[in-house]
Amino acid sequence: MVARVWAGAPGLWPRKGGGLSGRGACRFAAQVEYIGQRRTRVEDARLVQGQGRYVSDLAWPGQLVMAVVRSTHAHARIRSIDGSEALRSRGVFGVYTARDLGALNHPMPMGIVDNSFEPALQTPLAADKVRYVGEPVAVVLAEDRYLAEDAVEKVRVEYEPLEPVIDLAEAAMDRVLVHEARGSNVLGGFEHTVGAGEAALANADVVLEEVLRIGRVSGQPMEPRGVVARYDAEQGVLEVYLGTQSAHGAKGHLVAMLGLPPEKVRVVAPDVGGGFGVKMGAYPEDILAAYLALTLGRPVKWAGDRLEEFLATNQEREALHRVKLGVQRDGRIVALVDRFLQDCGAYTPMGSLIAHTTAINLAGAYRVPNLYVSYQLVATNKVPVGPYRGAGRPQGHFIIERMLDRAADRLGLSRIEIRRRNLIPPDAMPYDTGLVLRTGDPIAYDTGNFPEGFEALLAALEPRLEARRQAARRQGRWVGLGVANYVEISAAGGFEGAIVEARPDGTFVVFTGAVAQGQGHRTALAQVVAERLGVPFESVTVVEGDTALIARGVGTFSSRTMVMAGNAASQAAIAMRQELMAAAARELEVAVEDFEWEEGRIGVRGVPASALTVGEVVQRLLRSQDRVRTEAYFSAKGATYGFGSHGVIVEVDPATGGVSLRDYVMVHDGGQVINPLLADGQIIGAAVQGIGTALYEEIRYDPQGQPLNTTYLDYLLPGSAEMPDFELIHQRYAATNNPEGFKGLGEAGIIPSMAVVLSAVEDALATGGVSAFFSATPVTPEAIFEAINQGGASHEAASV
Amino acid sequence: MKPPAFEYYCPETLDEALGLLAQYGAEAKVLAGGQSLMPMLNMRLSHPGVVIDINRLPDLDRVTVEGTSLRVGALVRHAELEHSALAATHCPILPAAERLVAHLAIRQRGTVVGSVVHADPAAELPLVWLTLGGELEVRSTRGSRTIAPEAFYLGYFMTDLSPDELAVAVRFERPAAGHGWAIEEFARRAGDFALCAAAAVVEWDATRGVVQRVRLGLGGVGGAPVRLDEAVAPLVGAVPEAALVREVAHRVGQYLDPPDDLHASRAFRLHLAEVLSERALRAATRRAQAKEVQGA
Amino acid sequence: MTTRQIRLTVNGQERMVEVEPRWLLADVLRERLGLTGTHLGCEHGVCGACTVLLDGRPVRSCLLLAVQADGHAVTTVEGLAQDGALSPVQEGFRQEHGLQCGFCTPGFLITATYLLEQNPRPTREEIREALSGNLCRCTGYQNIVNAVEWAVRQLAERNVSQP
Repeated sequence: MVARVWAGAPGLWPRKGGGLSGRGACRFAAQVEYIGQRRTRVEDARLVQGQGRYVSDLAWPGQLVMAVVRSTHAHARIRSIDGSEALRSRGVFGVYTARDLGALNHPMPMGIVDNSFEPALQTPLAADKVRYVGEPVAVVLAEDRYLAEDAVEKVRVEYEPLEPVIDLAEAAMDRVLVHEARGSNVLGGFEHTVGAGEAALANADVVLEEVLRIGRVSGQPMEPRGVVARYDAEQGVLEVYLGTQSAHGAKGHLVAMLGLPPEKVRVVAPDVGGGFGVKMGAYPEDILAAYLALTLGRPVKWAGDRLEEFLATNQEREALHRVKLGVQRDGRIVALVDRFLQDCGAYTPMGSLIAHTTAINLAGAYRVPNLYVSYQLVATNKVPVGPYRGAGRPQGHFIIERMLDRAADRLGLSRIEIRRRNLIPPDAMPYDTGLVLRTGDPIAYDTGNFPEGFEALLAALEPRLEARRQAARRQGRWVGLGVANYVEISAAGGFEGAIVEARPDGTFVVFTGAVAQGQGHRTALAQVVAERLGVPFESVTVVEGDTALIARGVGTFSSRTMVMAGNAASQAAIAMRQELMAAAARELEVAVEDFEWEEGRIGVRGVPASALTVGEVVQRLLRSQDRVRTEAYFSAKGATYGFGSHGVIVEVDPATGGVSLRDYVMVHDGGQVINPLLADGQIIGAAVQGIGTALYEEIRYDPQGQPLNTTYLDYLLPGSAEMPDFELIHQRYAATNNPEGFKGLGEAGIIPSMAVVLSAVEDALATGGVSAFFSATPVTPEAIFEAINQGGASHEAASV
Repeated sequence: MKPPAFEYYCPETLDEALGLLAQYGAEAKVLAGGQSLMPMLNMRLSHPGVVIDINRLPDLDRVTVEGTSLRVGALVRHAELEHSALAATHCPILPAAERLVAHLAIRQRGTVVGSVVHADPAAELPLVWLTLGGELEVRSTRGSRTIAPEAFYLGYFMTDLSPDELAVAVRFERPAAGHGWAIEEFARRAGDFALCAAAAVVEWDATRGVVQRVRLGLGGVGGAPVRLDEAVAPLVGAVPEAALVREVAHRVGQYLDPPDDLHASRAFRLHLAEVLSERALRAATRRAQAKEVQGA
Repeated sequence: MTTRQIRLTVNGQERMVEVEPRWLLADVLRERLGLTGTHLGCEHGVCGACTVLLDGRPVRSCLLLAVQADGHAVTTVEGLAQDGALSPVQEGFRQEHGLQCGFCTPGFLITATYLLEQNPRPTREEIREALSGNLCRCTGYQNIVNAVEWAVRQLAERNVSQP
């Protein structure tokens, strides 16, 4: 079942057999196989020639450029705003504050449905009070960005500074309130018990307690957020071009904020330069640009810059966990207890999504018979928290994986062995974790062979360890191995749709509400549709990201698109095939059962002369109907569960604390994979982001709430020279909750990478006689230096 | 992130440039490679009324050997010094240092003199200039003068250069033939400013088998690079055994006063200073000794 | 406000444009000359998305005033394909899935093109080092390195067949 495939190697993927036999009346001879094939992308020819069209590339005659005046205080009352000098600045069209917006300036809707708590929602412009550095207080419209920034510098805002609250634990004590009217910074909470919960700790031989902290990071897509809005007065339609992961979601927010009928708002996501979760939900700039374009009748463009990406785009991760893990002497888990504080920043644009996802990921790939989790959502005077790739999955796994390392060390077991003893075995599938999705469905892992995957990982890595150790020792360096497992819970809730339209030239166009930001949907969905239709790949074009072309849609996040849109496209294609076969049968006056569809021709079996081309069938149909379309909307029950396992051999320079990643192997079960080239790309890209969180990235604030690293000189993204070449091992256990057997995999790579890197660094230090436990991310050279200095506990652990 | 408005001058002669500097003084910024100035402008951290672009001045784009020094004109780009045969021959530490400066594209545009004058305390070129010794050639309508690195760096991004002065070249003192050299730094990622950097030059007395002259410089440990003559004094005239080098390196901390900042604590920087000093001294010594063997 | 008339040779074509001196080369390319393939990712010279060739050498077009390029030759991503055929580096990125969202890609293509002009047979390590001044958030770099190696092989074959 395990196929060893090196990243980038072609064609070794096991193919799913069977397909969808028994569906439809006609013989379903799959003449072409596209699902599971490595194909280069149809997107790329444009993009490598600089012909992509991103929001910042768009311009219309008469366009005004918007720039935002942002709070320089983390917590302050706004006494006054004087835009008069800015208004006199060259090329300036207008300056707008909350007062000018009138009724528009009401709280923006949450980006998800979440009734679990009363949210704290931001208004497009701060009216009385600012709650984080970067919060919009006014906007300027000018002829170009240069002139707009000149004017921003001239807007005088008088603040009455208030004491801010930055530290998460301190915020939970409510000495300083971010939202006075709420009476507390704790905006909401949650608890859940599996089995006997905390009481089961009494049955454990050993109970380990730790405080674990996860640093705040920023998604940082290479394209900053941006929007261009224009009002078509003749049609009465507001068109909004937006760098977003959810065109339909954005349309919903605009409709709600502007009070327009849905048919009068069109949102288009053109090429989107990365998303990773942060290009979702309602952002002030989107609403403001749309509102100003609507009221002024001129196109309005805001192309956010990198500074704004740091100051005003949702960030993630930051949380403080107090954890207990009870284990038997043999290493088996008895109970896990986690009480954590989730930093929300100043507002809750995406509800409790991250905290809840963290909670339901705590069991990881292991049998955890008893579990208790509770969290509190805590407001602080920092940039609002919203999803960043993983959105809680890495955090939940960080907790269980770190605690397993701790337990192994305490029990004198190897960190590998303790995992072997707790992995969920294949004969336990489907395995109900006792945890529950937000949709109310149980989290029951349906397919997979976790031990097989883990052993494949070990077989790849363990034999190299000793040679690496010896070679490094000669240079005074220490080498360690870290391993971690995960289950990617993805594509839970909602739906996605696909419309397949047949054209008279025999080609097909697919419309979907999904929105790619680099995933390659136009290639992958075309593979699905071409195979299910039985037509050449080249004859299928996918169009996405436009609310005018498909009325209903959800968008691309949570590794959902191939599961939702992929199955919708599959079903729409199957329906189209049936429709065209039926039409051809009517035309040729024969029974559908006698038909075959080969090489773009539909005809009677054995009578090639009788055959019609697909285009001819479509042309006949178009004599009596205005278009030939099928559509399908798919909603997977529950979620998909993709297992995976990471292992890394790191080398530590004990003199400097420098860490080099030597060998990084990943096992992943993506179910039925559509395009291995693209799947590997997602997994590797995500792993590098995870390494960023583990080793390099952290948004830091001073006690006054001033962000300390808002440039790429200070906020360190992983670079090409530091990243390793990854080796991938694939498993394929098809999902059971969707006909195609697809599993989400977009977030897989990031899930265990924090845990695995920290574990490997500790293992390396152990070979030098240093017993360390890193309880916080990121692990910087300085943290390693301190761990070595103290001969054991890291500074984070020591300060707890 | 767009520059604020400024008056732009692009003088074609040195006299014209000096005249503009005399006229505008502190109101003006000199634009050479722009790899430090332009980010400051884009972030609007600097609002110069006047920008004087010196890229079209003649004769400033040369690397030459003049007497005991290697002279680098104000328009020599990092990449040019990195690949300069003269530098490789006479001051091989310079190409090595250049390879550590930022990234490929930045080195194509940024200038050596610009880096020296910008005075980032963690930058490689100020460190190497201080370690090798040399002079900055400075011109103004008032005349010309030279400034030694010891006198030039006054603190964080602060130098002895007056607002009306233009640095037209930097001279690096050429160490004795057959010297050993090394630059060792620790940065979080390739091309980042170093958390700490050490440069060492060792001249070898082959007849006695001892160190004849040694210089050690450290960067990233305070407001300006530091040269540690006193700390390395025990090496002069001595056989550079590992224990002695280690002892010397472990004493450098006494001479340093690094700050706590976002990227590293004072304690970690002091530790790195010792580690990198030892590595640099050892590597420079090894090189010096290897050359002796080669020469014999 | 004073403006200046400048003359640029962009992708082999001479272009005259009247610009305010503070305008960045990247903005003039994008907004005045319609060449939006050059992307602005950070505007402080770190991400490398805006990298173009100035007289054949890679520079950050966000750290260069357009007036500074007066009289010089600029090559952007739009100028890499010849006669409608993708360059080996462009083709390598397509073949090896060296791009996802495509936003950083123009800067990588320009840098890699220069690298292979200077060093037609770089090692994997040399490729990673040369590209370390370009940030990509999607790919994790591995396929970008593969893409450059694809181009290296392609160029080597060409040189064999066209001695």
